[in-house]
Amino acid sequence: MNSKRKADIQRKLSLTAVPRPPDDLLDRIKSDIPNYLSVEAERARFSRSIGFNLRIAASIIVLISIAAALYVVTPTKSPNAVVAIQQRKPEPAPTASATDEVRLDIVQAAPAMQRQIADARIAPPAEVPRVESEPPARRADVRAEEGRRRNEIAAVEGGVEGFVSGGVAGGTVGGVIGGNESRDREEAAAPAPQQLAESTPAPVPTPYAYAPEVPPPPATAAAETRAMAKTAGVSLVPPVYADDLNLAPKSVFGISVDPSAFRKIRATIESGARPSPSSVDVEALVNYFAGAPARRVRGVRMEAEASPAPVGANGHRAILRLTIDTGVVDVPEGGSVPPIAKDALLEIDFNRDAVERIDPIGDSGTLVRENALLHNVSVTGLYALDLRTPLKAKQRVATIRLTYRSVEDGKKHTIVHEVRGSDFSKQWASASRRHRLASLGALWGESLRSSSGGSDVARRAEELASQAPNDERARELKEVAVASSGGGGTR
Amino acid sequence: MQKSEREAVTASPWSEEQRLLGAIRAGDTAAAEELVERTYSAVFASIYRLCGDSDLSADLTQETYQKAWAALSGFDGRSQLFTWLYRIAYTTFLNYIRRPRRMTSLDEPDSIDVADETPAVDAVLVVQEEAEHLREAVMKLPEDLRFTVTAHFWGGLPVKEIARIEKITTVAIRKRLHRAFTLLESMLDEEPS
Repeated sequence: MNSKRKADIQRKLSLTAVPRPPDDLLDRIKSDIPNYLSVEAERARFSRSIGFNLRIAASIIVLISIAAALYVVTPTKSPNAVVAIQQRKPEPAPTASATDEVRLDIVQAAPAMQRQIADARIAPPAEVPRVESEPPARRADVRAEEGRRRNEIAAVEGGVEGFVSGGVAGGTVGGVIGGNESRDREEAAAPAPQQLAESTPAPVPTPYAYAPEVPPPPATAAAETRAMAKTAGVSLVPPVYADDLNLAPKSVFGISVDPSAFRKIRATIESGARPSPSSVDVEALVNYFAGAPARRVRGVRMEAEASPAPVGANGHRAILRLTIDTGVVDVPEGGSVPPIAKDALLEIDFNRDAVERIDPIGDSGTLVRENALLHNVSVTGLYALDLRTPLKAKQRVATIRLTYRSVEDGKKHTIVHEVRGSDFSKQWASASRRHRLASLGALWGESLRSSSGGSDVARRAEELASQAPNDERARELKEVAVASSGGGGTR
Repeated sequence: MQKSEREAVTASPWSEEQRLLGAIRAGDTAAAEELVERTYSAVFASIYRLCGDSDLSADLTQETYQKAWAALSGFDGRSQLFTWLYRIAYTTFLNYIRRPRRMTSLDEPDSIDVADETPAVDAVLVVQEEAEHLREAVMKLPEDLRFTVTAHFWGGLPVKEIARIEKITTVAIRKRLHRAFTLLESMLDEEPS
């Protein structure tokens, strides 16, 4: 290698042109700075944690040693005793059920309590974890006995309300006594499953049989059951309530992000029908397919991306996407999502010299102020644009501005994206996965509304899915687009 | 990396760097912000030269700092702060390219007609094409040579610093660079003109 050639390569390596970093990059990085950077504090915490774990481990070892020593020292039982236990016959079922005993207590209570008990009987049964180790009759005995004991305590300590709830719940919530009126009423209204099961003329329970299967509660009993579970301090929330507990907002900045929109349309298509145009929430479809960011976001982040339209660009039709993601926090079950910012305002200013026509996809054009922008939010809005051509590379097409006041530091922040002509010069296929899925999802939604153009969208969706066979959203989009375009179950 | 940019990053006084590091370790968020302000454009430039994509570089730069905060307790301060940051950025980039590649379409849709009034567009394109070929050739180098070349020319790290983090002598680093140039020359000669 001669020195001239070497110098040439060195020169090329050294003189690679680099664009300016994006305007918002500094803010993005700064928003990632953790609140607690102190290494010393972290080390001290880590040391404390290690020390605590070691103490627990030592305690466990000591306990195991004691147990082992006791096992060695204690004489073992004779084999005959074991045989005797095995040969014991199951006890006959009691003639009076636990419910009867409870009912006696209740009859002596006030008439108002009787009404509550009657309501509780009418209410549908609640689902409880199935207990398999104990026969129902014996379990009922134990619970009724326990309930009666608690009733006696409740009558003294907690008053009449506690007495009723203890009696009816038969031990499940019977321990909660002397509480406030509304809570106890909920407890009284929520029936004890064992009591309900036995209030019907059921056959005498077979010893060691499983508890009868109880149908899942209807929606009206959901709140009562949840209240009961909450009062009892345990988590009894079955999956059937998952939708009830989904506290995520259905719209952000006025843009629909309802996650159920896609499921409903998909179900309609799978049933062989075509969804009515008015039922198609295009914005929600866009947000379903845009999904969450690929990487975990901290703070508030805004993306703006432009590309030619996936179908029928014709040299001037383009798509502009803006997405706002907020930092992810863990929310306990049933908890509410905390806000990350307040007074959030999203503004878009289009340059009419560059844009001939602006069509907000869905209702993205009517942006509203968000008084409280929550964590765990991803919202995407799309605009279909007709650009004036030829467009100059440096010509401003739009300016997107997001201002908000951070809850964490109380300061006002502004994120600005300037979209220029050069942003539209890339191919749609070179756009990010999120942009392609969102824009194609939008066109699919529009095709459902207008009943035209579905085949082009389906073709494009098939390409997308074939290029990314592991992409679940791309596969879903292909399936529904093909089906709704006549290639599948469309009637 | 341009000379002025390199000087701004690597020629910061040792005591100043230690002061910043100490403040960050004491939990001073303002010091962390100052560090970011001083270094982020250089980290961005280093990653851009590796990947050639502005948006991706921004994302990877952000990821680099996220990893840096998490790994701050492990930084022993023996190398310069930017050297440490560059190593994280380089690893972040390598992790990225080891993930599955981004999709490309089977056919190209209509593109938007965008004109630029900048003069000598063809010349710019030729330079960009050459730079892209060079970048691809560098990416094909063996890992040790690739890191040495990119850290020296694109990360702006002096040979001495690279030798320190690679735990080899400066002579060995210069040998690596020589081998890398030989390989690059042969690869660039093979490239279609």
